[in-house]
Amino acid sequence: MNKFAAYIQISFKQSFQYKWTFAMTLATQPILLFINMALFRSIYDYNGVDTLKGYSFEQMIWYFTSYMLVLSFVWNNTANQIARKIITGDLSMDLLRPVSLFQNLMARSIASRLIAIMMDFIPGLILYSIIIPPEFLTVQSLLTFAVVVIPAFLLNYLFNYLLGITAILIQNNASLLSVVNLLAAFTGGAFIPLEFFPSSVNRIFDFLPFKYIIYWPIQFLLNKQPDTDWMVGKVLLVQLGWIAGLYVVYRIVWRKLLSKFGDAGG
Amino acid sequence: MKPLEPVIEVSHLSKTFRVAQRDKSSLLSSLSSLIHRQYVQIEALRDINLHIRKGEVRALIGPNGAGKSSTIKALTGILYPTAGSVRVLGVDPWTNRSRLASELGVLFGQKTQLWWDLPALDTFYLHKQMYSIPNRTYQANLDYFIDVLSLHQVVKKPVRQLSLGERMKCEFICALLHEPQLVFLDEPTIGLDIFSKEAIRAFVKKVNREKGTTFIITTHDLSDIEDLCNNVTIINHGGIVFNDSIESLGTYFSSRKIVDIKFQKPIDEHELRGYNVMSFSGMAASIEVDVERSPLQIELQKLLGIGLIQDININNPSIESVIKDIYSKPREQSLGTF
Amino acid sequence: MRTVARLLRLFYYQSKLKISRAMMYRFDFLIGMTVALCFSSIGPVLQYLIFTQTKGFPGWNLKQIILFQGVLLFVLGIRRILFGDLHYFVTELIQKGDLDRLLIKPSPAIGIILASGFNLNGIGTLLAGSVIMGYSIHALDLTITAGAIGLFALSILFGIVLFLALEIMFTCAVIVLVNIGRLDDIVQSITGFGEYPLSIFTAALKIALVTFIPFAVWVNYPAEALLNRWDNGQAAVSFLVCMLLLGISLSFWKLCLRRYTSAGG
Repeated sequence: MNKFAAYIQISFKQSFQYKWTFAMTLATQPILLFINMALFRSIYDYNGVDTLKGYSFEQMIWYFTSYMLVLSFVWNNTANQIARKIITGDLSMDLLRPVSLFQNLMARSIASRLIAIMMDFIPGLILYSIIIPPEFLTVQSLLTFAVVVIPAFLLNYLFNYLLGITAILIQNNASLLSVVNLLAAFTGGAFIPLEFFPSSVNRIFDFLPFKYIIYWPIQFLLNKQPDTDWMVGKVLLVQLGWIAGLYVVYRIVWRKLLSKFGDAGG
Repeated sequence: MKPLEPVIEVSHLSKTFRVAQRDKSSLLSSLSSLIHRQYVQIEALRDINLHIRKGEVRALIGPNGAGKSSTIKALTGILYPTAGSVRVLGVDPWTNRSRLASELGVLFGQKTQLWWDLPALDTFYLHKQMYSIPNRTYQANLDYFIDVLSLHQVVKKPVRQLSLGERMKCEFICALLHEPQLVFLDEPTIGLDIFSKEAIRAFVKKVNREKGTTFIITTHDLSDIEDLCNNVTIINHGGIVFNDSIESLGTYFSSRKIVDIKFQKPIDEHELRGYNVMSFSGMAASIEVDVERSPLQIELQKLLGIGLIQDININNPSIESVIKDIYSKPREQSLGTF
Repeated sequence: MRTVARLLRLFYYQSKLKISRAMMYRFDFLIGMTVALCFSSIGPVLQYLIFTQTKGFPGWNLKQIILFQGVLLFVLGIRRILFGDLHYFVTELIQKGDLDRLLIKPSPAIGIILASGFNLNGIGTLLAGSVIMGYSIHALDLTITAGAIGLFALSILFGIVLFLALEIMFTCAVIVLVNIGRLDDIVQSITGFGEYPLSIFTAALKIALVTFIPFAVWVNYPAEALLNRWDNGQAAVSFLVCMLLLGISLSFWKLCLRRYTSAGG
């Protein structure tokens, strides 16, 4: 445990040097908020409704910004990091250490997320609340959000890790990574509430893990689930199921791919 | 005195790769290669036998693409051999990689282990955690290294502010902090000025002497080899083409001598026909003499007769020319000697 | 004028090189093109979803909105073809300290920078947009007069002028700040205002988007040109402001450059 904590500590110090880049969304999100407020004010008025697809006006606006807030907790660059290590051959250096790469990169992700929470989530929450007060927010919704977003982080990390490993098979996989990330975000409800999709499409999304990384944490943050205990339990169960499944895949695949990696290059 | 135990024992190590052929030039061929790949067998290592004893400083060199990296990868457990056996510190590196890692130190001259924006001390502390170094040992080693390398202020500055020489010394600390028994140095002095090079070499010799650490050095810098190494192993064409002490390398061409002559007055190049002239410039010439064909005495007397001598030097062929000669031997000629 | 001609030639030659490279690595190009199309399509898909799942936007029916998305894709395609590589080029330039090398070239640095943005990957988006436009025109049974085409082309042209101004400002920002963080995203999000039908915005915003930040020129104007809903006076004002903003951005550039060179680079 000590090694892990040490790694988080040093990653934190390193990322801290770049803390202001974490705060960049504080500049872009207000603009997005204004655009969305104009867009949806018009839509809500034109449709003569107070709730659309189950979202109040505030919840609808906050949905789009909540994606950024969730990212403060779950985002990581692991896929690109691993792919680069494989392609440049730097992976061999990591393999010569008495610590697992899996833990190292997770420590790095955790450290970077801690800074993101400090510099992005908390200031963001305050700033956006000034622009459009979140009537829906309660302490309970924040807490359930926190409970659900941590497995979301682990799930996203595992998914990214496995995605990065594909670089052993597909040398130049940068395009693949960006497309998969786009699809993950799309099917996870990053760009628009999933309620806007036809139910047949939503049923497909239910079989993918991404909803449980993005959509569900947002649902709890927006306090859209009145029967929270029951829902939280269900969501956690599915998340843990996915985490367990992907972890098993990781163990099986890692050994195999290592032998393939050693074969590359003279 | 008990015999020095082996640190590395490699027997009949061979590695064959299956490499896919890919022709990127046309869409059709790249599509067809998705369905049916053509493979080519590449023999990267053939029948490598290597024995390195504790406390040795061994140079492992060879031209690019010769199989050096493959050998090192096999030694560190990243490459699985097609045939043969590898034992490092008594265990098989492939199955014991993480256990072996605690006894291994590495330094890559061209890659950094240090966290860029932070003082080197932070990276050292991380290593302490990673290798579970006890507090007392950590502090003692750290103080020792910082002292020997004069890095007292350097380790407190962010790494990105250090000069190359300072950074390299810090990399060395990373490699040695956990007192590994075996250390791989890959291009340790690349890009360094002469003072830094000498400091690093002195450091390696000191650690080797005082702690008995075994070093394996891969480098293209021949002065590193001449200064540091007891033994030299040259790999070419996937096999070992030379495996002996540094002295033997020096007298490899035992029958050859290089005679450098400076004449008092310019002489005609024509006068030197019949000799193996390495270089000529009017008043000076460098001539290679094969003393097996004709005794040195006779050759010298003939040379002295050509013109009045200003200066004369007689040397063994440089290590550089020896190595160049070994490197350029084609496959058939070079293998099978060891 | 001669400098402009030389820069256009530079643009042409660089584009030719990039096209032949794309043809050499055809597989990579196809993937890149598809990825670009996917990313560009997010906006239109979302607008379509919102439109169909609600009562829509005032002043637009479904077929017209589809036309709007077609124009949007068309414009995004043009943007990427002309300037797709620009952000990467500029960031690399500044971070590697290569701006000095550019300053000793015979053409103005900003011109060289703007001429280095060609990226063939936008062709997929452009074609998709064109197809959707064609389909909508047919579905709406529109009569496209020569005048409409002219106004369409004019709007696209001034849209490019406005975008040029934006890119020049971006380049200035990179020179001054060096470490841009996510400046890219900020620029991206601002341009978002121009990618929705004007009618959804409040009166104040509408006026702004037509006058001092004439983002409406990008997609709204070409779409209205095709739908024969053109307002000459309004257009004239917007087009004028586009030219003005280009001039302002160029002056800003000269300022930044002077600051850069006097600071020792």
